[in-house]
Amino acid sequence: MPESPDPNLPHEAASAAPLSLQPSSQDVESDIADEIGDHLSLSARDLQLAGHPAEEAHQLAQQKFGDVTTIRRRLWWIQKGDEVMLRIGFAILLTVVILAVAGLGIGGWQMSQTINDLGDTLASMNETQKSLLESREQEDRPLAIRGRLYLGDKSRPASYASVDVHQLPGGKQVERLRADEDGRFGTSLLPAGPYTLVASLVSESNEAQSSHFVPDFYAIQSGPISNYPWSKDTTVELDVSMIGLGQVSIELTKPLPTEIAIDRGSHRVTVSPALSIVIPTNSKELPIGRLSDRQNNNWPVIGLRGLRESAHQMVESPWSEPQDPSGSSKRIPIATGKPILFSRLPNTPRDDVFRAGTYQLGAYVTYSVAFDGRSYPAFEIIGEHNIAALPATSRKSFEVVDGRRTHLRITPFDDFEKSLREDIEKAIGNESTIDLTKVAAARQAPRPVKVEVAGTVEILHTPAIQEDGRGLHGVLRSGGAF
Amino acid sequence: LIRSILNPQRFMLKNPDLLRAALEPVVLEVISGGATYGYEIARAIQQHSEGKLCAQEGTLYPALHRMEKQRLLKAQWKVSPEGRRRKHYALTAEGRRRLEALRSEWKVFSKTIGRILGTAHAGIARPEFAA
Repeated sequence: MPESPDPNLPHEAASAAPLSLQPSSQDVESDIADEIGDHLSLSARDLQLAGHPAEEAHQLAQQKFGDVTTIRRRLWWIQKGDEVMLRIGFAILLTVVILAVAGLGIGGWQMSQTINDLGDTLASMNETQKSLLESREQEDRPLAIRGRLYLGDKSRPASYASVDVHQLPGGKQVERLRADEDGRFGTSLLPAGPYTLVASLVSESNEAQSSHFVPDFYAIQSGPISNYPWSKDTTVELDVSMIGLGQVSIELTKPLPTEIAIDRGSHRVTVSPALSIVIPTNSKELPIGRLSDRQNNNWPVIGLRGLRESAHQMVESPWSEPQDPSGSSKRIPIATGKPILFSRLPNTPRDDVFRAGTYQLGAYVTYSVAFDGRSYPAFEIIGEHNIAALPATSRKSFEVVDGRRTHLRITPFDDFEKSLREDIEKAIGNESTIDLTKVAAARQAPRPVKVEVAGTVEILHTPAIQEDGRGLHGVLRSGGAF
Repeated sequence: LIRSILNPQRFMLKNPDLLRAALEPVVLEVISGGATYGYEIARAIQQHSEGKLCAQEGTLYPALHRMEKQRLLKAQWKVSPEGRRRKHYALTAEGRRRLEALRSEWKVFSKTIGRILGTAHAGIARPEFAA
């Protein structure tokens, strides 16, 4: 079981590698946008896990946060206000010095040169000041994202490829475009904010449509694109090269207990397990797409929800919750013994598509804890880099093969509920008073499960293909069954 | 400290001045308790206060940034398991000293205010208006 090196920090925080220690002044705006974006994404994720549909979750997250633009401006002034005020103060000081010098009557050509120089300095500072203020005024100005798509080699354009523009966080599709013959595209003016692009091209040739037509499907997703006036570049180049694509389905063979209740005196602790699945990406050879961010770190992009939020971790909770008989529940019903396709997740029509290759899947159960009605959400402690910390039975290598679906099975161990109860009871002790810190610490111990590869089946592509004279375009759909 | 500050019997939590004053000790306390990044801090405050403080989560960030400027907090950027950049906060030595001072101050303050309010309720005569 992995242990946090610093007991005062959540494991994920302690294990993550530091980036730059302090944001540079040039990146203040981006840092603020990243910090707020992270908050909104986490908030929306938790709301989704609580049963809200994706769209509603993102709207609620924004409502809970408050006015993002105002907060961003306030943060900018906190970070940069001193500098701006210092410049203004310096400008005033310079003016006073100039007037004083002029007033003393120390004239002459040299003096006038000095005054001219000082005047220039003052003017340039005013310009800087003006541009700073202008940039604040323009921060909500709509902008377009432009770019070019190519196939392997930049001299080979991905002519007429489709480009879906998704807003982040949440991945709401805001625009669908078609690249021109040279692979160039440009969106309409979009509100400032982060976006991601999914470019796809189904077959370059005019093959006849048939009921079992298997198209060559090219797809790529960009990393997050910051579409702000201060962004350095919103021009994107994507290689929509030929890649084999397969699918992955996952099956949970036994339901997890919905809730375990432990009583101590007049207090009650309830534990709600949830299954977490991690499929690490390889930042050197990315599964579907790549784009460098401003610090030259590649954004790992993968199927699953990653197609929408650049995440490479999927958490579904609670898997074992029975479907609401009234039909009003928005949660995904998880039927025991049936495959769970990623594509069944809300707003993720193609998220089960993986680039062909070798992957590793790690699975474990975390649990949220409620103490006398107050809930403490589960920690997500297994990140991309420490999946190896899971027991060998809880992680498995698997192949994604072009045109086939790989089926994985996840099985909780036989004594799962009993051992979980014992561990929680051990963590909180036998005293009649429950130590909250122990309860919180207990959440950091993930429960292993057994992961197996059940096999692969051929994907049957339904003919959702349209021919428009330029080639065949359509959506990859899957059929077939185990 | 958090429970004491957030006791709804003592504060009208919609009063922005009181909220602003309470936010600094609450944030320092929560960070000293292990919360490190904005969302986690907001969630911890939310849980402890049962949603009575920080109704708009965004208001937390100006407080965090101000305290970072005042060197009560130090910040560090890391990569989250989801692959996003995440800013983590921790108390500086000065922040820890400030928290200790605020804890003591708060005890005296809350005791004093409690005593005054208690006295008022106990029977300081209100002026009667003539009919």
